[in-house]
Amino acid sequence: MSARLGLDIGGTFTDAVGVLNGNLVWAKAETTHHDLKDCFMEAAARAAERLGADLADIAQDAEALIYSTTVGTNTLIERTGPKLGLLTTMGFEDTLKVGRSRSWADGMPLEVRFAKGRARKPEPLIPRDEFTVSLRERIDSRGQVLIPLDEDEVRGQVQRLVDVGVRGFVVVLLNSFINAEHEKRVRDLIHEEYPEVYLGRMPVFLSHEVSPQMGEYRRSLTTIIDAYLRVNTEEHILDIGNDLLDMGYRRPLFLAKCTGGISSVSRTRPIHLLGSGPVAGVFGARALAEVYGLSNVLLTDMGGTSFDAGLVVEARDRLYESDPIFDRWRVQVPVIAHWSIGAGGGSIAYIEDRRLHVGPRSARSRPGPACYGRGGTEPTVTDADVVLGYIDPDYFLGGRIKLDAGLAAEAVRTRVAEPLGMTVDEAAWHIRHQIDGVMGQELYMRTALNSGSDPKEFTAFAVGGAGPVHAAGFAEFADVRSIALPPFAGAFGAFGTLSMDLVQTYEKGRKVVIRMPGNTEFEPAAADVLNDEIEELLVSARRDIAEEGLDPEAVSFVLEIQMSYGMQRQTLDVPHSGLHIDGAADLAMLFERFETTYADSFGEGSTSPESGGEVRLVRLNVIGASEKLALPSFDAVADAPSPNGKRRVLWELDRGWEETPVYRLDALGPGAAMEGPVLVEAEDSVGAVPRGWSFRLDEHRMGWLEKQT
Amino acid sequence: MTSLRDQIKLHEGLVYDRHAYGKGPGWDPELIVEKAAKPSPIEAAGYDLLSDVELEIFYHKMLTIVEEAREVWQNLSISDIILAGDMSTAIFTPSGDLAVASTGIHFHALLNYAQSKFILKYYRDDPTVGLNEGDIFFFNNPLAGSTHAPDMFTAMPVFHEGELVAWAEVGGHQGDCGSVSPGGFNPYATSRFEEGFHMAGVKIGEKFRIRKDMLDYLCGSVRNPFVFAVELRSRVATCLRMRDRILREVERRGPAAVSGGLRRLIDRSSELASERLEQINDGIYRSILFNDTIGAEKGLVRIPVTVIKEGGEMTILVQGVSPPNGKGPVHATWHLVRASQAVYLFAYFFRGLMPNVGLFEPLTFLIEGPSVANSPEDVAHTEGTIISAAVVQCFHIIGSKMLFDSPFRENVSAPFSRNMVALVFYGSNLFGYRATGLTSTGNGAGQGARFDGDGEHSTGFYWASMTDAGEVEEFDARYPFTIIARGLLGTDYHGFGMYRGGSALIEVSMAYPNPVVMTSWGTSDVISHNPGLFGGYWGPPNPRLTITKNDALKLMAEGTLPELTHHSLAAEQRLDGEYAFESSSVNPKEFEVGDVFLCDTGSGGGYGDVLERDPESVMTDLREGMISADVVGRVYKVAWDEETLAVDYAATEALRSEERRARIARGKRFDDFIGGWLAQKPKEHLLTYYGDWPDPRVPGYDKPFWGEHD
Amino acid sequence: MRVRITEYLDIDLERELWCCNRCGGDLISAREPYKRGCLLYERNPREIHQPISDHPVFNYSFDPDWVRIIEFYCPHCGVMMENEYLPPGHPLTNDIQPDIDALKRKHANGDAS
Repeated sequence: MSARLGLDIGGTFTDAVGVLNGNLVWAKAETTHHDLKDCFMEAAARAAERLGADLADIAQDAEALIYSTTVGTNTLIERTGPKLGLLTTMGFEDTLKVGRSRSWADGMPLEVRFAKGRARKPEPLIPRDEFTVSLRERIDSRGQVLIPLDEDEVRGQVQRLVDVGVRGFVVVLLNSFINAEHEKRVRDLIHEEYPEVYLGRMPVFLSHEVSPQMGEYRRSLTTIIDAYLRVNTEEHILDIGNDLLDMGYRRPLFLAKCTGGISSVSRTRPIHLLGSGPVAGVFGARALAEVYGLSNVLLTDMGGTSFDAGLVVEARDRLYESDPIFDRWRVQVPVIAHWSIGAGGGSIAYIEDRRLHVGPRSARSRPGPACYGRGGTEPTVTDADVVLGYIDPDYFLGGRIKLDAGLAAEAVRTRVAEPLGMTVDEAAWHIRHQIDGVMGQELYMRTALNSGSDPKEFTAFAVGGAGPVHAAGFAEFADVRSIALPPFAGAFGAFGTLSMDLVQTYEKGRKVVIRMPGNTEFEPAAADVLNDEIEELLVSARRDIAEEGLDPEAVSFVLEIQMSYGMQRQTLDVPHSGLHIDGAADLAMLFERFETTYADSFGEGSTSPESGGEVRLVRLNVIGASEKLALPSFDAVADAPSPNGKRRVLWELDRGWEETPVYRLDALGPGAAMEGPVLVEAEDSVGAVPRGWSFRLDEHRMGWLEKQT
Repeated sequence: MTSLRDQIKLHEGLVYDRHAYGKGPGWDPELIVEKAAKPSPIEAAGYDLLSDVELEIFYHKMLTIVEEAREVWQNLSISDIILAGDMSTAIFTPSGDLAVASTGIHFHALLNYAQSKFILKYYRDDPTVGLNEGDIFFFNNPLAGSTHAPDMFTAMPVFHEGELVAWAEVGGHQGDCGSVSPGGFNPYATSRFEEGFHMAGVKIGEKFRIRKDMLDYLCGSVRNPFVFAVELRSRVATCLRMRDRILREVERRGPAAVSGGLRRLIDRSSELASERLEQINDGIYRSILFNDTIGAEKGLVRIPVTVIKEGGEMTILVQGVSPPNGKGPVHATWHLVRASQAVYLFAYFFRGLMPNVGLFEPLTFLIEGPSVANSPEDVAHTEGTIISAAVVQCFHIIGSKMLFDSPFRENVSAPFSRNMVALVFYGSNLFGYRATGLTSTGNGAGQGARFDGDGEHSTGFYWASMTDAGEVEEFDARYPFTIIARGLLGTDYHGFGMYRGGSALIEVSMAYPNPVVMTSWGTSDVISHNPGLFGGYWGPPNPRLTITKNDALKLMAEGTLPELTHHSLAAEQRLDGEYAFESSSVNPKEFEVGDVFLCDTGSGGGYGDVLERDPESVMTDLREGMISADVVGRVYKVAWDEETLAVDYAATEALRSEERRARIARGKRFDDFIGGWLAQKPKEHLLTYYGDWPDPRVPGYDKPFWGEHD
Repeated sequence: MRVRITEYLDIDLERELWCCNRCGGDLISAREPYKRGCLLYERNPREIHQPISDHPVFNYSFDPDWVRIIEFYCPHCGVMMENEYLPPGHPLTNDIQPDIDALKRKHANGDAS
């Protein structure tokens, strides 16, 4: 009886998906960057309207409101966070400035790696000068104190930071994840100096609490980002929360996280909100995969500036990114794997050194593609699509934006066709072909690297404004033969938020040798160490379950053990049934599972059991399953579909222009099926069905592009 | 009209366009000096199948294959050096030419062709060897085309229905190769027979599996058989992966299109390289560097480089080089010098062009031999990269001078730091593993200053495009030592200039919690290889420092350990103990718990006149501890308020004007200067390995400028 | 016309002269090494790079027995146009020897960079 509403903020649009009484609707509003609350409310109101009610009415009865926000991303990229101070072990104050030497290329496109001569590192979030102070202390990698903490020094250094106006303290001491006593003492001292009763009391962030894992650079960045995003995130979320409360919404506001789940505001860490949109998309794909019984799914989202992809792989329950980077910062967060490259409708085509490049530079929405008529003169992928006939200039985004095909052709002619000595048609075709090639080939590489499976075995879901018009194109390059076009493709992130479970993730980094190199026996003592760590994670988990008001019987606990061969860098996450490691027997089972996954990923000959085995990290996921959306079903339509019209499209260079039937998606009923070449137009996208592919609409109004032969 | 090339006068009795040694069992120098080979029939057949634009997509695909392979290999590896990035994955044409390389060490990829070409010419049709699907080849012999024995390369031919369509190759620093010295670097080696096993294109596997007898032989020849076996398997797994991907592409496009496409990539690069060269001013350009060691002994060695640019071609002439000495391992080969130039060419001069052997097509290399740059057969080679890197540094300076007045000015800079000290430790780590290794602090060299700004700090490893310096907590858990300070800890320890050089990453480590054996190797103890540009001063030399019998552990326990920086240790000696400032190349020694070590891989040279550095930037340098107050006044001639660090602009202008006047007063006109200058000479004992002074090949050379031969 | 060749060096194409980019002063014929038109000064490298340690050899500075710095100044304004680090008495480097005729042709054709 009560509604569920999911909202996802995107760069250009904010999407909302609402579900009520078996009815599934979606709506969009333009993202209002100056205050995300406005677009949140606008999109939510439009979705409510489509459900036939006021937002206030919906809110009062709503079961859940789930929000995927970019408030943190914006804060990070625009650097609008507070001034923070960093206290760290003496001798390592330059850790952030050094950036592992590679920070000049982190988060940047591949080409940047080839240009070492122009390397420039990003400015650290906490400046080295004045805002970073050192503490004469040191704990060694066994957890033993090498240099004791000097409490007077701590007080003095804290004062220095206060004097330059910091609004929070980040404390990162070496090996604190093994022995936290010094970090805790620093916080105690700060609280002694600045007791709660007084104004201006500033938060203290301890690295071992935020990210108890090895790696001081990443742990620093993880802690700093969490701290940095806190103020803006809280302000924004609480602001929305208050407005919803005023409307009568009594449930918690749930937030979508990049760790692959949702949680209420009071159980959410700011850093987990980064990248929530694409991850929500992955979970949307996962939900649909379950509905259709698909094992391996690729989610692809081609928007204006970027092409994002994620994987759902049956054999591995949750696929994490192996070395996550947020913006330019390397972190320790179990981010659900997804990738982004600079390829989208707004990607600019240009010639350099006589070579055609398409992206990663983007025209964004201002000035946007040349055909937008907003002053852009460089040709983009969208311009190429217009020239080639894929996009109807009068029906772009349902006619909301009128495009000028002449401007598109002009841009293509002057910037690409003429320099390359080809016709406008040829140039446009090549622009499209090249971007499809790059996206498809990236997809292929990512799938291969991360799943160990052949991309042939994957079904792709194509979402995003430019997804359906390019999907068959890039699928060819990725070896994918089956593509689903969800009816709510334009609001897929929002749909995804409604497909995510309540998830809390607890991690502890701990290097434990479970088998020495050359041995065949496992170390039983290792099991005891691991069980102690697991127990600590369970304590935190139980506390949070109680806070969320969840029934402990209704949640599931999933343990993941991150393992590697002795001294190898490659780690794999291995699920463990149960919450206890029963001595050597369980260790052996874990190791075997590790080796099997390893062989699947890297090939039979790559395993090296004689290297021994290590655990690096223990992870506990607590999952409160949410009700999965049922896709509405519709009756089949008996009549054969008839096209709305025709237009000339240049599908293949050697065939020239072809009169192509154009169907309107909303005029098609379940059961409709056509062979390419055809176009299927919806309000917010165009499905391009090339020769050799077919299109059909199933009972859920899911469109399917399938390769014939 | 005489061309500029005609001005080159090569010395009789020496070789330039080829090696200073001939064919041998497993090597053919004629094959090695070849640039790109003639395309094989399948490459010719497929050459025109891809349009220019289709070629871009094809190139992207090949790049994803080598980048995927690079990631896979780095993840499978347990060798620290591979983890740090000293490796390459590459795809070669069926004729053996490099078409696509990953962002590892480009010049490795530029050497691996030698193996494939030799196999194609001599082994393919030999009934005792042959070339079949599933074969795995291995090589590390410097005479046959490798860098030096510790760099090892694996090659796998890729067949499609019986036809050779490509080669997949991976290579990288492996370390121990069974030589006299653990880890492969032996400054005392005098011949290649002390440098471990040398294999030249040996088939170590068939039907996609390494032969057990080969594996046993190799593992039995080295000190770290366990690591070696894991590494070798990783390489093979990586080759297999690349092969799978290449074959998938063959399925899509057809074998001829793939092979032809690879060839087209090479030709494309070569066309674009020529075009770029056309846009640069014709002329003759020169630069010169000197080395201070031949291995275990000190001695001056000369490496001059002349570049003649004419139209779409460039000649790189290394002439007037010190002769081979046969007393140490600082000997490069002809091919090592050529391939090393990729370090500069790919990332700077030809930046933006696809990096493959095509970029070398318009280049002619004339490398004098026999010399330390083009050495004869039986010398020791392990540290030949010192010489080839010196040529690269000269080329970088020359290239910057060429590119300033060109559309490619943004590549103008002082060279990336080439100075080295690598400390290699052996002992028991925290978890009870016997561990050998060096930290990735070596991936923290400083960048030379750029035409438009300061050099970036700690940017990576000299030889690779992008590398990682890792994290201290990982090293502490892995290695038998503990890092007690690590950062940009140097003061006055970079090249000064209008723009300053980037600082090196400096490491202070301690033998802790167990005793340890440590050996080190390096370069630039009294001379540096980090020149500045256009008046910028050089990045300084970096010998090594060990502090034994010190009070560090005691001070730590008492909580009174002083700040550990380059200055506090090397200059102020703030720890009590025995300070050993030494050459960076020292044989293994045992160290006790608590002994302290200081090392770094050098800071970049500066750019431009110090008197033009923005005084605000000088204050920033001071505030950051990059320079001392002394340098502010003495070198940069800036006046400031010591309390507020505010610049006194008027006084600064006065100081700087005064210095300019002083320069004019003390500077001599050329004719007044040159006689007195040329009359000087280094002390005899420094010239033992130099050759004739000042031109090793021209006795009695007396001209004011070097390189003027009649 | 003047073409800027390096940070501090221009060439006056008509008069075929090396000139200082900063003050415009003439140095010497562009067909000669520009260094012949500069003022030269030899330095002990330790005047710039002060030894960091007190070791006579390994002190993070350049050993004047092995290398000296030669500085090249504009004779008019005193800017340091270039420097070289050379062993004592080693001949200088004629580092930039442009093909003047080719340069003149390039600019006559309106081929400005």
